[in-house]
Amino acid sequence: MSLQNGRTDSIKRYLLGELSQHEQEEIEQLLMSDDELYQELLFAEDELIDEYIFDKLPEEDRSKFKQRFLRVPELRQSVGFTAALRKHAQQTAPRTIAEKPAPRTPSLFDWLKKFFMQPAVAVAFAAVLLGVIGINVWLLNQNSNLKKKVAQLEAGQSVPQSTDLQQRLASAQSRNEQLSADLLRNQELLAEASRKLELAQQQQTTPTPRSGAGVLAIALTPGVVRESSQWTKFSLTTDKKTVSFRLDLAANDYANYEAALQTLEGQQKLTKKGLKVSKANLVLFDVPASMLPAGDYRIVLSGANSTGPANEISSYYFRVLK
Amino acid sequence: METSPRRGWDLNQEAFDELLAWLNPDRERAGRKYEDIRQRLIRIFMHRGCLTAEDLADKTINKVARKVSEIKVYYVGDPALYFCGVARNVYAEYYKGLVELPVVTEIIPAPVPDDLDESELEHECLERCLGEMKPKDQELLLEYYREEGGAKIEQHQDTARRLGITVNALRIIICRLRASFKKCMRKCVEAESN
Repeated sequence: MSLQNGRTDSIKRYLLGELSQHEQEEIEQLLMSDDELYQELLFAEDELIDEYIFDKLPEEDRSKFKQRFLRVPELRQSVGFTAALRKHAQQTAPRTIAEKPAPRTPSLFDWLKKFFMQPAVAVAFAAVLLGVIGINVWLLNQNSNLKKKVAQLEAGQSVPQSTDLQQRLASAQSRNEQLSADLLRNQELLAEASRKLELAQQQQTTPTPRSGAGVLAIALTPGVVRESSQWTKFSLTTDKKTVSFRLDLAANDYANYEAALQTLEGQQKLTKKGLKVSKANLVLFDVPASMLPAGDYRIVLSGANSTGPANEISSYYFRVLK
Repeated sequence: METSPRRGWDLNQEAFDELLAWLNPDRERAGRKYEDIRQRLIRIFMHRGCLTAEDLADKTINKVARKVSEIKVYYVGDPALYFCGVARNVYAEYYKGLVELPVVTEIIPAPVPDDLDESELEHECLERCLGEMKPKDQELLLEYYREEGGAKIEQHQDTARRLGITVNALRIIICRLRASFKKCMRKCVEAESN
């Protein structure tokens, strides 16, 4: 299906009723016999509905759309289904509105992890490990030989020791100590390298938890209607610890805001005062997810100025699904 | 696949069989062609603003079926185009009928309702139809409708990248998922309403 050719525009104009009668009949004739064009028509129909639902149509097209689509029962139903789908998508699994975390400066550990995860480095690292193991074997062997020589020299002590022999013995002992120290250092290096490799492998399979996870942001608009079909509905998964409500304010008329979470039976669950208002006139009200078992709730928002009492502004209804 | 006339038709089985034979000698292919023509006619009537698009499509097919024994003798070409010509006449009759309604002195456009709020029934059907989809498809469809504005474009690009396809290919997949979802919704709403 080609979506980029010039016919797409003609189809859109056909759907909005902008073609002359002749052009309309020409397109209809093609629609009956051209499979590709018919598929494009179905596609364009959905695209127009999406643009309408997402409020992307210019005013003139919007008006034509309403005249053409919302009057015909089948098309109106199609628009309704798409609107319901969009609403459902935004309500049941709303995105977390929390700002994206600023990119943090990678730590030394991150750098090491990234460095060791590079394939070329991993191969080189493995080669180095093998080298270190080889050196250790050689050092062990040398150490053993030296020990044997020292033992032989000590056995020959019945003969008066010459200065030369004493010097050789001292030199051999010194070398022996040096080799032992080298062996110890290499063993430590090997252990450290193995530990780092293991840690890096663990980090590769265990992703760092994302910042912002655990918070479910829900935008609520005020509703005086207690008609449950118009409520915001959402489910809470066990990983969500906090529900961050964004209460839409018509106007920011008060200095202070307070919100009260209640069940529909009037049981007060939580009250918070001194709530913040965002630039977009949203009052932010965080509620622990543990306080929201499945059920119907109401949030009562009140506003107060420094001089007067708090006035109830609006109520927001929602349902927590199982 | 249609192999018998629709209910409420004044078309008998013999005429219907003749129509199918004209569409294609293979009965199964003829059935598919018939359904395809019907769907296209419905769309054409819908986009001409007809409130009874299905009835008008059936009326068009009925008219063709009645004449098929004559048509097949002289008509050469894709039968679908013949239906298109007949559909124009059916539309003209429909429009004339609207204009000639005795009580109408002036054609006043019907008010266009603005609210598209779903009913409880639609909500139930929506849950059911989404539930019938494969979890992966369901998540893809919901993800497509989740974001708005710039975030929506970014979301679509991210999704396409994740799936290793182009944004255009993603839109085509969504088009198919949406079509299947709407088909399910129509069936469900119709079944639950009766």
